[in-house]
Formats: sequence, C-alpha cells, structure tokens
Amino acid sequence: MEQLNPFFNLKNFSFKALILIMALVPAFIIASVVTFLLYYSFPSIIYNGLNFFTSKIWNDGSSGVILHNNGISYQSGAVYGIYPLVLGTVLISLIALLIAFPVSFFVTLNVELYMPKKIRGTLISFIELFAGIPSVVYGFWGLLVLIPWLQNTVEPWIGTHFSGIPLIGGVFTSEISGRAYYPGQGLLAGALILSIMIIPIITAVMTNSFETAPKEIKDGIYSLGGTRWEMGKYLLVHHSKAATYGGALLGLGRALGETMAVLMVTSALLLVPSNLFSNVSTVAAYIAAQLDSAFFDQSGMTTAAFAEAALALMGVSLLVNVIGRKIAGRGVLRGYQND
Amino acid sequence: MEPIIKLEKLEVSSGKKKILDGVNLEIHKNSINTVLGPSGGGKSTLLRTINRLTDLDPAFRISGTISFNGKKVTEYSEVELRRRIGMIFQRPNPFPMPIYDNVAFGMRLQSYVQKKDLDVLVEQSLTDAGLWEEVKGELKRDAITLSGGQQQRMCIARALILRPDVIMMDEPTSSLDPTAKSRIEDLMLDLKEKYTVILVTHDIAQAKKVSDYTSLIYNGKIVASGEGGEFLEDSASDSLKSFLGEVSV
Amino acid sequence: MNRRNIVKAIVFAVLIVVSGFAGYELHGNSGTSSSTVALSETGSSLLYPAFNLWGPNFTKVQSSVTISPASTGSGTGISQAEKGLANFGASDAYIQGAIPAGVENIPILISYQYICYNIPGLNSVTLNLSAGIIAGIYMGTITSWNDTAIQAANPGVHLPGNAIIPIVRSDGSGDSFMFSSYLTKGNASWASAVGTSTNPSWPTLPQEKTGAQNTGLIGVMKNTPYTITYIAATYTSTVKADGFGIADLLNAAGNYVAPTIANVQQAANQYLSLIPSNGTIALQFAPGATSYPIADMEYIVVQKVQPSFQIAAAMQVFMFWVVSSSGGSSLTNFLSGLDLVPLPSSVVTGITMPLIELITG
Repeated sequence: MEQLNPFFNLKNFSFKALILIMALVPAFIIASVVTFLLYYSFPSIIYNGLNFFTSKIWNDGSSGVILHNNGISYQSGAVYGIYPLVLGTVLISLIALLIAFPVSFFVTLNVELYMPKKIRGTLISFIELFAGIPSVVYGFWGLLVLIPWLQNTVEPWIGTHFSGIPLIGGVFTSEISGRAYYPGQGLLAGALILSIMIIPIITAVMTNSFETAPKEIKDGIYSLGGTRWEMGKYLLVHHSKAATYGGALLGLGRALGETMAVLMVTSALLLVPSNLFSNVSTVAAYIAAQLDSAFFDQSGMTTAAFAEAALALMGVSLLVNVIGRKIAGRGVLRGYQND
Repeated sequence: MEPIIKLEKLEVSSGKKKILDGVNLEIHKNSINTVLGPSGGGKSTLLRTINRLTDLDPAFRISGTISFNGKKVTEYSEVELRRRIGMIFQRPNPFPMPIYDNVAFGMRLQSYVQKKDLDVLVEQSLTDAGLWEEVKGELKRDAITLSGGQQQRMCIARALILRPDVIMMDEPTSSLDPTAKSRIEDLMLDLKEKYTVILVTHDIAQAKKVSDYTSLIYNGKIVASGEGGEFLEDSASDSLKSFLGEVSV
Repeated sequence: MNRRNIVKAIVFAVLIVVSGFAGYELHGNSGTSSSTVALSETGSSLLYPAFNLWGPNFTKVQSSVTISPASTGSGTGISQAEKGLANFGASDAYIQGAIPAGVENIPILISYQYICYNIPGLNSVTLNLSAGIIAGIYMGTITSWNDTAIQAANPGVHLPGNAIIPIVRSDGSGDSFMFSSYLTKGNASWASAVGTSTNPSWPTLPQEKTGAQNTGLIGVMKNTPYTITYIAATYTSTVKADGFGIADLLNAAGNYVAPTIANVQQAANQYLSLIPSNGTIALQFAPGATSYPIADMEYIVVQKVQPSFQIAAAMQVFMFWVVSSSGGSSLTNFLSGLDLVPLPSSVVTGITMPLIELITG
C-alpha cells in the first residue's frame, strides 16, 4: 500500500497540479506575447509583405494624409523596411560576441588559475557587479569616453594599418569624398559597448562552471603533465562546454536585445554598413528611438510596423538560441573528438 | 640497487597543521612500494608532494628533499616530472569523452602524434592496463559509461601511454567492488615488470598480497618499514600490532 | 471669435483664480484630499522643463490644483491625452491629419530652432544659410563647406574644403518635425523626396551622425568638427557655452535673419490671419522682412470632455494662467530662462482662449 491517507493523496495531487501550472506559466507568457505582437503587426504584415525584410527604407509617409485600402489604413507613401536594422543587429551582436568571448575566456583562466584565492573572490564579485550596471550608464560612458577615443585614436590606427590588406582591407577603410573619415559612432562602438556589457555575463557563467568542476578532473589533467593553462582550457572547452557555450549564448541574447547603450553610441539611421566603422542601428534601438513618433501616425500603420519589427527581433533571438543550443548540445553529446 | 626516488627529512605543513613530519623513504625500482596507514595520516600528501601537485596550493609549506633519478624533483619542470611519475587516484576520473580520447589525452598534450602512431600507442597502453580485450571494438564509446573497475584501468592506461618511470596509486581500489579490486591488484603485479609502483593504501590484505617494500605511516611519520608482506605478519612488536588494529578499523 | 467672448473668458479665469474655487467642490481624479485636483501632463521633452517650472508656481497661486509632468515624447503625449490617460498631452507638433472627434490641440507657446555648425575657426563668424543649402547638405548634393552655393551666400568668408557631416536626432522628435517641415516648405526636392515627419526618412549618407535628444546632438557636434545640425532654442545656453556657430537663415522675404525672440514673434504675427480656429498651422517661412523661418507653435492636446466639471475647470484655469503674460507666459519669470517665445496676445485671445473654453466636465 503506498498511500492510505486520501487527504495526503489530494494534497499530493493539488501540489502536482500547482507545479504543472507554474511550469506552464512561462510558456503561456511567451505565447501571449507572440499572439499580441502578431495581432498588432497584422496590418503591417499585410501591407508590407516580404518587402519588410528586404527594403532599406523606413518612411512613415506623408503626415496626416491617410489612405484606406482593403480594410487597412496607412499614410500616403509609407514604406517600412528593416533590412539594415536586422543586418545591423546581427553584425553588432556577432562582433560583440567575437570580442567578448575570448576576453571572458582569458579573464576566467587568469582569475581562476593565477589569482590567489582571497583576491579571486573579490574579483569575481566585482565582475558580477558589472553585469548589474544599467545600460544607460554604459551608453553615457560610451558617448563621453569611448566614441572620442575611437574617433581620434583607435579607428585612424586601424584604418592606416589594416586598410591595405587585400580582399578584406575595405572593411577597415572609411572615406568621404576621398578623405579618410572615422565617425567613432557606429558599428565598432556599438559592438565594443555591447562586448563590455556581456563580458560579465559570460565570465560569471564560465567562472562558475570552473569552480564547480570536480577536483579529480583537474588533478587528472595535471598528473598527465598538463599545465595550468592546458587544464583551464580543457575545462572550459571540453569539460564544461555546455556551460561555456551557454554563457556565450546568454551574452548573445543580451546583445541582440540591448537597446539604450547601443542607441547612444550608434544611430537610428537605416544605413547598410560598408565597413567596420559604418553608422548602423539595431532593431531594438530603432524601436526604442522611434516608437514615440509612431503615435503621430493616426492610421496606426507605423505602430503596426514597429510591432512587426519587434516580432522579427523575437524571431532572430529565438533562431540564434535554437541554433546555439543545437551546436552546444550536439557537442556535449558527441564529446571531445579532434581527429 | 640505487633507489629511484628518495625522500629525506620531508616535512609538509598546510597552514598550522603539520602533515608530514621528517619522512625518510626510498622507492625501489620495478617493485611495488606500499605506504600503509590510516586515513588522514598524510599518505595522499606524500604522493602529491612527489609529483609536486602540492605546488598548486600555495598553502603548503615543504622542506627536506625529494630526489628522482638522482636529481631533486624541484629541478625538473612540473610537466616533465608529472609525465615521468604518473598518478592514479582514489576515484576513477575519466574525462567526459570517448575511451580513445581519454587514453590519448596525455600524448596529445605533449605534441602532435600521427593518427596511426597514436592508434598503436593507445592499443599498447590499453593492453598493458588489461582493458584492450574488453573495449577494442568500442573505442568511441563514452568513457563515463564504463564500469568503475574498467574506468580505473582506463585511467591506468591513460597514465601508461606516457611511458612513465613510476606510477603512483592513491588507494586505487577503495571505490571498487571485490572482483574489480582483485583485477587491479593482479594488474599491479604485472606492471612492476616494466614500471615502479608506489601504492598508498589502508588495506592490510592488499599490502600483504602485492607489496615488495612496505612502510607504515602514522600521524605524518614513518613508524616502521620492511620488505614484502611477511614483514607485516612477522612483526611482533605491540605498538605495531595496535597500529595495524587501527588501520583495520 | 468675438470680443465679448474673450472678455468673458478672462473674467471667468480671473474670478476662479481669485476666489480659489470658492463655491466649487473640486474632486481630483486621483487626489487623496477632496479639495485637491491632481492634473497629469505627459509628452514633449522640450516642454517638460516649462511644465516643471509652471507646476509648483501655479500651485502657489492656486493651492487646490497640482500638476505632475512627465517627459515622454510628443507622440506619447498626443496618444495618451487622446485616450484620456493624461489630462494634458504636450506636443511639439499639431495632430497630423484630421483631429479626432472630442480632441483638440491648443497652441500655448512658440519654440524655434537654430541651425548650428562646428567649423574650426569659423564658429564666431555668422554664416548665411538657406533651406536650399541645408536640404542639399542633408540630401548629399552639397558635400563640402566650400561648395559654391555656400560660398555664394557668404561672400568674403574663407570656407574650408572639409566634408560636411550632418547630424540628426536618433529619437523620434518634434525637433525633427519642425526641421523637416522647414525644409519641406523651403525646398521642393526635399518636399518630394523626404517630406515632414517626426521620424523623417533621412536620405542615407555614410558620414551622417545621430544624437539622442538635443543633448546628444550637442555632444556629437562638440566632438566632431565640420558638423551641422538643428538644435532647439531651449538649449541656447549650452549652444553658446560650447561656442557653436549659429546661422542666419534666408526667409520668405529674401533676407538673412537672426534667430531672435522679436524675429520669431514677428513670424507668428505674420500668420495671424491665417491661423485656423483649431490652431493647426506650421509657422515656417512666414512672410515679413524680419520673420525668422524656423519656428512652430507648441501644443497642449486635451480631451474636450473631462471626467468631471471640477477637473475641466482646473484645467481651464491652469491653461489660462499658462498663456497669461503675467502667469506662465511671463518672459521675465519663465520664458526668457527657457528660451521659449510667448504667443502674440492676439493669438492668445483669438485662438487659444476659445479652444480652452471648449473643455468641459
């Protein structure tokens, strides 16, 4: 007899039901957000079609001149395209990850392997503190410190030293009317600010997985003649690879959705970037910057288009997450194979 | 015969606690050198001091000398020292990867080895560790899925691939069932043909079965030493008897 | 709107203010005290400092009414006032297209804009610019400071050959609306290619830069030589402190005029007879020899029918006070410091007062 007390049974049952409901809440929230966005973006989906993802122009149309067609209303001449924004979002986030991942990796190894225990704890809590700083603060710092530095020092240096490289030199060349031009504000600035913001996130995950790794594994590597560096590398790249890639994904997710800091150091212009210094914008930043102006459009189409942009951003984030998980997950299952 | 490893007046402390207190010990080539003693007596620290794993923790204070092949261990690089003195731990520690990659791990750390050479080395090491027949068809299998005894033998193969002079075993059978334990003990006897073995254990029966040279360690001091298992049986002194009683507990 | 009505309105306002709402039991929509009306304002960031000053000062005059302002953006201001989520929605631009039934936009002030530039060595020289030149710069047809069109407008000035870097607002903004409206009225190709918007679809120029809010624009301009941008006059002190050049602009009469309060008010006066009773008009390119061409009226958007008579009355009293030259529109007490320009009294009595009177409970 397992359970003789019917009351206990009932309690058990209601507890299970409660757990189930709790488990369903996140799914319900996501579903309702998607439904909400779909509902609000519907006029835009109809009006813009696929053009929404290929057009480089976002034009609210003539203010106040509202046309009606097949049950949808829009301002005359309105065109909504987010191609430069999607491109900007993906580029900025990937470059940020490209910078942040190795930095976090080296920071983790340095902190874990070469710092005395006492300093290590303080240092890690310090790094974690950085994750909690509001993005506006980062943006402000970017505006006052980072951009002038990029503009006057870093970008001209990159430009002079790398623009001659065959094939990819163009990525490091920025000119207007034949003269070198380094804007500071733009792709590089956005990626740098984002990388600074996501380094604490990735580092926190990495140091945590480092510290929870079994001592036997660490001793095992050392006793085979592994150096500290080889031990650390093994731990992050192979033993804790799920956590390592998971941390990177977490960082990428933050980067994709970051709004304020990116907005402050890039732009809200729909430019298709032609080099590392180009002024770009991201979907999240553009929505934040221009949502207020959508309310001037009495037809509601601009608001609908922003809802569709938000939906697209959600789609991109989901896609990145799914792909990332696939890669990380498969890697974990396959284990370590390098031949 | 000249001992391969020689410990002289070795003192190790961590913080205020003294772990080893004036240890003198000689390790003989191609023999099983057993250090027998109760838990917490400093046996593991003794091994970790020899291959300088203790250097990883700045809390350890070490004085006295340890020489290996006539040279102080501190004169070797940590990497070379640890590759020449392999170590097996109390609990098997396979890396979460296939058997092949586990065994090849140390080799790959050292240098690039061609795949076909590596295949030979992996097979040789697994054979030496008495595991080849059991796993030869499934080298891609994840090492974690092996049984405890198989895992421990794979860890031995992993150490053997580096062709060390000495293999140190830190209570290698304490987490294994009797059958697996017995296989490892038989393996030790095979290994001493080619290698020098240092065995740390608190298991008197095991010491009796395999030991060539036995030292008893208690509270960080070597209290008695002698040759082979008979030494343990022949001992008549009361202090030794009470010591062994404590070990058996 | 006849004279008698206006007099009636003023008398009404004065009576209420003086009597301190004697005879009325005012109930706030969210006030805790039964004798207090708490009014909410949201919208234009340009008007926010004004409301921030007006609120406490009005409460000093009329202790039973409090104003809580919020700086959210003109679009938000219009949208929330239309939905009744705020009593006042402040906007730098009038409602676009047909004004929804039950809603009105009421002009209360005039704001204007500078065209600023940061050209090393030339910031102390006042350049002459025109809508044609500025549109050319923002459309990428005029790319260097010594372009013949700029040189022709500034004879004798030695202009550098550096590329011009235009800066625009990154956020949706009434300032962008005013600026693009100026270019739309003053330049035909801008009108057909871009038009007027709070979020103009800027022709994409690789060298273009953006700044969030006026402060952002100013920051970018400070760090970047050879830039040009449009900055709200409410930032006069910053612009002057940073030493940017401020251009004189070509007006409808063909004169280059400076952005002074007199020239801005002159523009509003010139439009007087043209302002429709709903207050909706753009003031750019006013006729008149000295009219400054980039100015616009600032608006408060309200629902005509408020939840209660008490709220409606409190709103009316506050708005009368705001446009009164001895109240919120006093140059010495408020507007000079804010670099905003009061409406000409004829607009107050002819347009604004009658619109305020339409608010009811």
